Amino acid sequence: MDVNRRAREIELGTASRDARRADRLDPAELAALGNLELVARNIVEGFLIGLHRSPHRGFSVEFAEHRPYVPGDDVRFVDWRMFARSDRYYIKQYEEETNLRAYLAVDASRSMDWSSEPGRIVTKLEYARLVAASLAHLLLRQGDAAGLIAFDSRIRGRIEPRATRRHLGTLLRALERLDGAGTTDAGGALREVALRMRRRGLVILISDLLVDWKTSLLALRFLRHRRHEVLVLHLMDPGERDLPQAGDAVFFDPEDEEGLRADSASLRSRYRRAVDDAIRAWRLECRRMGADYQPFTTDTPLGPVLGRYLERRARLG
Amino acid sequence: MTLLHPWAASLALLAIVPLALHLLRRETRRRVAFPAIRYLQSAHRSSARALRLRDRLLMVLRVALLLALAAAAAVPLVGRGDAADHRPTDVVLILDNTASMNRVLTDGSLLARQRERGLAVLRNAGPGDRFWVLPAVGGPLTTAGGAGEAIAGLLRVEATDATASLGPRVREAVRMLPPDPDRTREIHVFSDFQATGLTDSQPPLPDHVHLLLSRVPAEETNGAVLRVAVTPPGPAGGGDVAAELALFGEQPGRDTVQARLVLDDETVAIARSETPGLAVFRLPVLAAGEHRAAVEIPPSGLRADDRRPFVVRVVEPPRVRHEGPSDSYVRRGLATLAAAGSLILWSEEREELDVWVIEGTDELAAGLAGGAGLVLIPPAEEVLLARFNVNLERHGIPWRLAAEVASGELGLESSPDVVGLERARVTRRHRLVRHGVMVDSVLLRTSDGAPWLVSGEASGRRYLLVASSFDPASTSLPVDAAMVPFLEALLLRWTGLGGNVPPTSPAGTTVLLDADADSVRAPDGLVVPVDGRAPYAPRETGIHRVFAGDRVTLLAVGAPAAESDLAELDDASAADRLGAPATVAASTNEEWADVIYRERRGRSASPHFLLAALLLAVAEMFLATPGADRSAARRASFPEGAGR
Repeated sequence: MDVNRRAREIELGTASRDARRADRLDPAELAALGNLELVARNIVEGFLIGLHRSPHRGFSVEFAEHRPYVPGDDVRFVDWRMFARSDRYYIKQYEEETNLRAYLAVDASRSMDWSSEPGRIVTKLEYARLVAASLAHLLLRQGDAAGLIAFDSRIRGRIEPRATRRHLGTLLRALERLDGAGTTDAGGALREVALRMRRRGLVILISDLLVDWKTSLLALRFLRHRRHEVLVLHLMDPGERDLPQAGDAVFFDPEDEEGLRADSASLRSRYRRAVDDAIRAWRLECRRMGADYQPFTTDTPLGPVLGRYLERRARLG
Repeated sequence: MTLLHPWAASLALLAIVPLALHLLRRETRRRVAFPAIRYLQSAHRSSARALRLRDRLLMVLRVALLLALAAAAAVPLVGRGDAADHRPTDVVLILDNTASMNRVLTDGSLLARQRERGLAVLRNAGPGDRFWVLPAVGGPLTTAGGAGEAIAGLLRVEATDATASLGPRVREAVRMLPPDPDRTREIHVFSDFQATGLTDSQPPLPDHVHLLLSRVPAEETNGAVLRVAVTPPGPAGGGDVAAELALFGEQPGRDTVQARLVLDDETVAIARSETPGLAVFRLPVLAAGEHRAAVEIPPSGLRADDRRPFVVRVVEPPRVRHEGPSDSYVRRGLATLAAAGSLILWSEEREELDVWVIEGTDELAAGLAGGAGLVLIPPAEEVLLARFNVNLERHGIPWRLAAEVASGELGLESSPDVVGLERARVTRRHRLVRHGVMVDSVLLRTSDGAPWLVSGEASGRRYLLVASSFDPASTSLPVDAAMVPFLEALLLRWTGLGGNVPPTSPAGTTVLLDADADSVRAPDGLVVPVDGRAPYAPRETGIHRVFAGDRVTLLAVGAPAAESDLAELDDASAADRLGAPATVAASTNEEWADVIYRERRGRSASPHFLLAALLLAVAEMFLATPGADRSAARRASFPEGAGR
């Protein structure tokens, strides 16, 4: 696919309706557009169109006004009394109210800056950047406050949650500046987030979870203990999910240069089991602590990721 | 085991490749960035031992795979291959067609069975093979021909009732085979290996000549009329037949055998004899002429010797005139024979006279009848002896009588034609002296070895000359009981005028025919043109008719006695007699098919090695990509993982 042509179509609005569904596009195509704000907006709007819900529907309960029904609106919000009186469909609109503070905790360690097929598959960090930008856009669009914390073995940057439209630009610029470096210490970063969030809120951890298992779990439990909602988005490169053929080689961790000589062919099935075991363990532990956990590979379109968020957001009310 | 493509065996060196890779892989320098190494470590920890084992097993499989492929490419030939796949071979097929091979088995004759074995050899012939077909009796039928010619040659081999020795045939076969290091040389002998046909040991065969013996098991019991001795009958009858009968092999309960005398297709006498033993028959009075006769026993293993044929010739009584004293003992003896009908005694000279008996007369020159035989008895008076000698010279008789006489009494040697002759005594005897070159023979000698009765041809007539006069003062013969039989032998046999029984020729031996003979009709009715001046060897037993213009004579041919004893030599002994250093023999068709064409290429083991290579490849494939990895391997290719 010609990525540049697709990006141009999206930018000019000349793409077809489905083609504009950026939430369904390959993340690599979206990353190639470069403009993170544009991409995030298209992802979110495309995603919302796909939900057949009004992009203007709020989650608060203060009634504001009526507006004519347009296709895609949720029929649950049709005002049937108005229909009875006027024989026309009207949708009841509510005053949006910001009642959620969300932290996007993005893992920016060196292990995140890796792709099994550079050029065809985005690095985990690029994917995390797209996810974070889209979620930030969605949060702010809904009137929620969105903040950002980037970490590796330490806190690399922190932006406090705010609900203003202009705040989106701040977040996106911070995301664009992120690069992969250092080792990972998700436990320390999450602990700091917990300490800083005074009000009950939502923490979205975007990481490859190549972290210290015990300290990270302890930090997540601490967040839950502080009654924060937790959504863990576990990012994996497809080459990490299924070990491809590499023959006999010395595999090394880019974070600490630790090496292991192995034959990929002979370890494939056992590797798959090890990954499955890890996912199963994360899912189990998150369920136990009441956190939400979802693994994604970096070739997954952004729509499902946002859907996962919205499910969680809906439970928050 | 040999390799069809030895150079391909060098491909086995490729087996070093996986071995080297296995060793060199320990030193791999390829480094791949991979963040999720913790999962890899986990997988590696759980399977390190199994992986090491698998690696080594893979190495062994790959080495074995390459070795199997190299072996398949080299085309190893193992064991003995098919008979049809062999080095170019020169083969002499010696088919025994002697009488003993005519034995009938349940599924054909022994000869037919062995011929089939020979055809089996030819059916497996290759394009480069050459064949000679050499019957035991007869000349070569195929010489350095292809399989097709050899088949035709084998089919032309005729059954005979003759005998032959295999040893000389094998030597002849060796001479036929040209020495050629690039060709295998084989001599196949199809025979019953009868002991009587392998009496002489042969010198060892040359190196690289394989002798293969084909034997078809057969019964060795047989009954035979080995010989027949016949006393020829005279014009007045008489004559005896003594047949020697024998049984060979173990035949419990058969101690005697019944024999029949057949004359002109009619059984004229039956006798029972112990075996071995003699069956004696008296010949009946027969009309003048040739008579077909045979002694037969019931059919046994070999049919040819169950009947031994012979020919009896009976003549008219000869016409004899006696010239000499009318009261001589000779005259009286002749009168006795004439009275018995054995001769006709004439008192006057006639043209049809057969024999003149001239006793002591000096009138020898007076009018001898043309063609009549002469019996010359010297005069008793010494003074007439010179005149007697003059007459001998005048008629071309190359003997003279010397006046000196033997001293004392001398005996006469015995003769089968005259019973009791040995009792006679000679007291006066002239010495017989040769004059000039002669073709004659001494029929009787005195006990001191001096000739007493000689015969020969002179001036176109046969003569018999006695060295003593027939008076009691010279010899006791005139007053002995042997006198009449002596005169009968003198006139009927020694003159050649009496009946006779020509000897029965063994089949396969050369006989002399009459010089003007032009054809022979065999017992089976087949008429063969012959040249009477050339040797002729009849191969079929029975009575053969020899034609010479309008004249027909009978020729009796019997089975050679040597063929009657069917006892066989075992393989080792037969091979030893034929000069073979080791025995290669077969008794069944399967064994024969296995031993022929000694230098075969062997069976190719390549299919087995290819199958092994295939199995090794499959095993290697499964081992190299175990379980779920195979599908994953198809889905993904690796990721030279790299940071941005």
